[in-house]
Amino acid sequence: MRTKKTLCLVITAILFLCIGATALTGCNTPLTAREAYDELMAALDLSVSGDMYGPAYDPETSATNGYIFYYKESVRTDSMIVNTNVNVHCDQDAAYNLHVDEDLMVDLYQETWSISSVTGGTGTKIGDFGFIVGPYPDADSAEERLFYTERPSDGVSATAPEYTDVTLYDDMTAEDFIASDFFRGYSLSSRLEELRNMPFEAFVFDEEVNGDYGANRQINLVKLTFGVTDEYIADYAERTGERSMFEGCTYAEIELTFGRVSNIYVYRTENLGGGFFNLPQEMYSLYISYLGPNISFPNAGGYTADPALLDRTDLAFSRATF
Amino acid sequence: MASTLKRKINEGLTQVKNTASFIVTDVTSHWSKPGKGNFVSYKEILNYSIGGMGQNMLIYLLGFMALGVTNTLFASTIGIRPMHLQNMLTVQTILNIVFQIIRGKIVDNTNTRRGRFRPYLAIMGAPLAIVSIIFIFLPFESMSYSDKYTAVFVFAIAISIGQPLYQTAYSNLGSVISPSTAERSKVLAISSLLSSFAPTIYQLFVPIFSNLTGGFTDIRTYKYIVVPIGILGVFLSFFAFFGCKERIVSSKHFVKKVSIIGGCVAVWRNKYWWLRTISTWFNFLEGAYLVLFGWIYIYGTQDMNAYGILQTVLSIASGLSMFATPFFLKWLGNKGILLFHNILNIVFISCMLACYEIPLLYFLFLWINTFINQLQLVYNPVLNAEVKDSIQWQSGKRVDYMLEVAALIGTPVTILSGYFLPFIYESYGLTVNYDVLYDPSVRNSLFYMLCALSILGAALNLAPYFLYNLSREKHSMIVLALKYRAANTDYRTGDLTPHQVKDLVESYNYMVERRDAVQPDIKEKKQEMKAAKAVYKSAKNEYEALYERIEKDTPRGEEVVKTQELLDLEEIYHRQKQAYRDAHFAYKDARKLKRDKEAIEEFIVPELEKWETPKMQVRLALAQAITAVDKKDVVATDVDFSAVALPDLTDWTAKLAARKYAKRQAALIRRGKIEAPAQTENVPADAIDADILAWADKKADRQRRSLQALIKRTALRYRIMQKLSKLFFRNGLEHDYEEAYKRELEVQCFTKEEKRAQNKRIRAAQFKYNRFASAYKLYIECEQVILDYNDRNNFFGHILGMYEDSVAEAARIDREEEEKARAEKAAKDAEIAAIKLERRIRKDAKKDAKAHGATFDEAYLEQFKTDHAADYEEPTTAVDEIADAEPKDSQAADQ
Repeated sequence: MRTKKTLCLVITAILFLCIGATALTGCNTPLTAREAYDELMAALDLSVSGDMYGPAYDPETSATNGYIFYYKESVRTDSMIVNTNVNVHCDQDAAYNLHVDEDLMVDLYQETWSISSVTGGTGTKIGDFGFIVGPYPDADSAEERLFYTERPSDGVSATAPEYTDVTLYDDMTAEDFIASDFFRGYSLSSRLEELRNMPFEAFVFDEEVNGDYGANRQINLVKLTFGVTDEYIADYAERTGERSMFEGCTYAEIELTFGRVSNIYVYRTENLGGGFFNLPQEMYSLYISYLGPNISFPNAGGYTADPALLDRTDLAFSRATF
Repeated sequence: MASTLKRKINEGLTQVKNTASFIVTDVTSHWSKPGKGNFVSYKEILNYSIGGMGQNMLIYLLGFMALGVTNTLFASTIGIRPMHLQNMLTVQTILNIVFQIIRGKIVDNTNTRRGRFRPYLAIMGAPLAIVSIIFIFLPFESMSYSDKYTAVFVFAIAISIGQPLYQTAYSNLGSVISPSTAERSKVLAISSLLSSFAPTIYQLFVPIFSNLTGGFTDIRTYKYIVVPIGILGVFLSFFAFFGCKERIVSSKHFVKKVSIIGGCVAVWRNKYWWLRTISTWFNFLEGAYLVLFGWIYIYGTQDMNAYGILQTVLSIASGLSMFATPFFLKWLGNKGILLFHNILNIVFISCMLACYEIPLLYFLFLWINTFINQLQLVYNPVLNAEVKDSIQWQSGKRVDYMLEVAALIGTPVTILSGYFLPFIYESYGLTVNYDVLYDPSVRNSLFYMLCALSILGAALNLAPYFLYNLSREKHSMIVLALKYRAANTDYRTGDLTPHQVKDLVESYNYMVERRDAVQPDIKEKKQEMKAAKAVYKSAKNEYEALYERIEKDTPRGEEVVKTQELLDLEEIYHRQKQAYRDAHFAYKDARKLKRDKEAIEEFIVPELEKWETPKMQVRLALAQAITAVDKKDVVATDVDFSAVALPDLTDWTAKLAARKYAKRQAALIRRGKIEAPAQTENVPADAIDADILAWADKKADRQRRSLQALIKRTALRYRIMQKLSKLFFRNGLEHDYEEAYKRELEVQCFTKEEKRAQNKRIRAAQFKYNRFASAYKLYIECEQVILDYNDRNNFFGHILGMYEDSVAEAARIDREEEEKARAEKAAKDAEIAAIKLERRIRKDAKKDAKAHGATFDEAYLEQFKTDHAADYEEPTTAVDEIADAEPKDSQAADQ
């Protein structure tokens, strides 16, 4: 009797695991091409609705006050990688709720690496620049200002006598900085603009064209894997005079979570060599979260006076002009 | 009152002072030379502890190189997808089976001048640290995902191959640092206390310093904070390498190895092992909430100072839990503690689910849950040991290391279930970019789901334990059955000790007493207890009411004068209290008696009636048939297995039916459906229900088929034995390979060359013996069956009669050992007293020299000693005191 009970338990446990696995497999629901496109467009609208440069931004109703987003972008070409991080966010309280009108801060940083080929594993840093804009740490002056520090990029040590670092701007608030044309080029809307304007015909979701293509929903995640038509790429170049982000791609992947765009990857697979670990090469990636990490400010003395702070990659460097 | 308190405080302080003084003197006097009877000096203990700190620190660095979806370096910082991490983990798990065997082979064959384990502390630390450092300093900024993925896979696998060698070397060193069990426990207790300082400190400061480097999601934290800790760890672990010794004592007894398959099958046949193993399969789900604490502080509050402090506070929970476990185990029993632990898990994870948005409240419940969880650190080894005993009772095989090997059966389940959490992570948006956790809407949804899954996991974890019924009573009967078996064998080999006889006979007598005791009606006892409680409560209330009345009437400041009525009530109250206690005890004892009887029925009766079962009768007949052939003639001689007759199952079937009938009757009586029958034993067959008889006949049929299969299987195994022995021993058996192997093991070597040569000979003898054991496995088993059968009456025929003499002999041995221990303690005390006196004289001599303006040197000291010999007369030593006390103690012991 007891042995039977034990046996029952073992069988129940195994059954539970099988049912669990089956149930989870059922959580993957395939989407049609039209459904996938509609989901994408809706997600794009929702994603940029909080950005002041977005088409549907309404300062009266927006919960984000037009500022809050955080993205990391990486663009890889045959000779270069450009990584961009933009973190625009406000303060959080002890229960980590947003306080959109207080302590607005912006952290923008871009670095460029030179690589020997598109599959080149490592590279050399050839340039970077960045900004931290936020409340001035000195308690006497609570104004929010822009700090932009310039540093020679020839590898001179921060303690060397010929070392110079110059504060170029000191009277710009974070709001002013965000409103500048320079920043407009780094807004979330600018990153999603091409996708927002893509017609349904530009997407290829058909599995028969490529086995990887398709779209499915997995609880809160919608994953779209698609190709882009050559006609669209040619048309885009003709229309805008610029290269499309999908040019040369084998396929692209977009992940939508909680109805917003969270990750975009554009891959290239041909002519990249073989090998056990050879995954598709990412030509472009964009990771978006709609609230970023707190930006730490030094306790006192600003940024320019403390050379040690220049080792921080998120501080303002180099030769930006705007 | 106050003076008593003061006296007690003073006494306490003196005791503390004396203890502190003893410890200081003991440590300073045995700093580099161990005390009498010991092997390890305090310097060596310190070296071992510092080595432990180092090991701990390097493991902290290596922990960030372990594959898993919760790894902040691989996942949050480098950005490897959870599903990809899980894929790599699957490959690593499979590879680990191979590497585990290779590592086992390497360690088993390590025999260097520096020992067996220490070399790995020295040679593995630096390479592991270097590999980790190279990985952390890779230029991830310019690497593609494919390159990152490859790098993580290669480096993590490389670390996982070598890390266990380094990690187990330290704990293995602890197990051979002293041949004395008591000293080893002392060394391990001190070293674990000292080495735990390292994690306490780095767990506090790493999060705080990580504020400067961008937190746990920034690679700079690993480069500039975690890596230096690991490097320091490598250097510190050399203390254990250079400053400790291995003191391995080879076993004088040759222990036959249990084959992997045989051991695993024995384990897999055990119900308790299955229940415990199945329960662990759901740990992956229950542990889902574990990441939340880190995520709340890394992504939520982003307050690394609080995170560091709280982590330190959390580590206190583990220590407290270890102290508390023995009490819980005693209070709740085996099944009770399992249920208690898992039910409270459900409760506290539910509390966490309710308040994960309030970090400090969440932490409070996490702390309590950690305290509850850590109970298993102590009770798991206890319960595992009981399960091992149960396996030994069932299979006759002692499996110690085989439990882990047998658990590999769950590898497919572990691999598959490992994909569940990554799937949930992805479904909630955590695909490759862990920064989405900064967003409360994403984070909170995931937190909610993970907490809910943890509750489900805890519930599934709990479920198997409702069937777990290996109680303390059952375990003691298992132990008694094992002792009985061992004593039968030891009587034959002449290894039986007086203590063994005394212990076994006393346990047996207790078992007989419990078996024959009349089982009282538990329900009735419960009613009696309740009634006694009611009477006691009423007497108590009456007494208290009268006392309060008198107290009310008594003027303030005056003592309450007890009237005769109050005194009478007080007496009744105390009497009723005692009556309630007795009734409570009687109820508990009735329940325990029931459990004892069940345990005896389950474990002792089958053991005593083992040779009457059809299965054992057939096994014996087969063994006799096989051993009738000489080992050397096995190849040429066939055995006629068809001549092995099946036993008559009529009696067996009748017994089976009678037992079932008795059980059914007992159940009906319990439910009050029938009254107790006049006859409970030797029930005639016609009185037994027809369905029971049919059931017993069915069982008999099954038994018959099973016995026929056993004969067939044995015949097949005999043919295989013939073939193997023909293959391995073409010239026939040359000598007794087991004896030859034993002889080689016992040869003593004094030089390195001798040892090397002897190792070669041992390996050669072992190889031959292993071949013999695998070819003649059936024959060896049959010999064992015959031996066991011949030994079956040793206990009742001889050992029981040896009780009186054994008790006297055991008392004499105990007395001698006590005297020896007392003398050793006295010698140690005297040694410490002499050291203290020497120090006092030296101090006084120095003062004297200073007072007289003389130079203090050894000559001055000697002169001072001579001049003041009378002032420093030897005090009465502890040895003398003991010598005085000895006659009294001896008398007491005799009595």
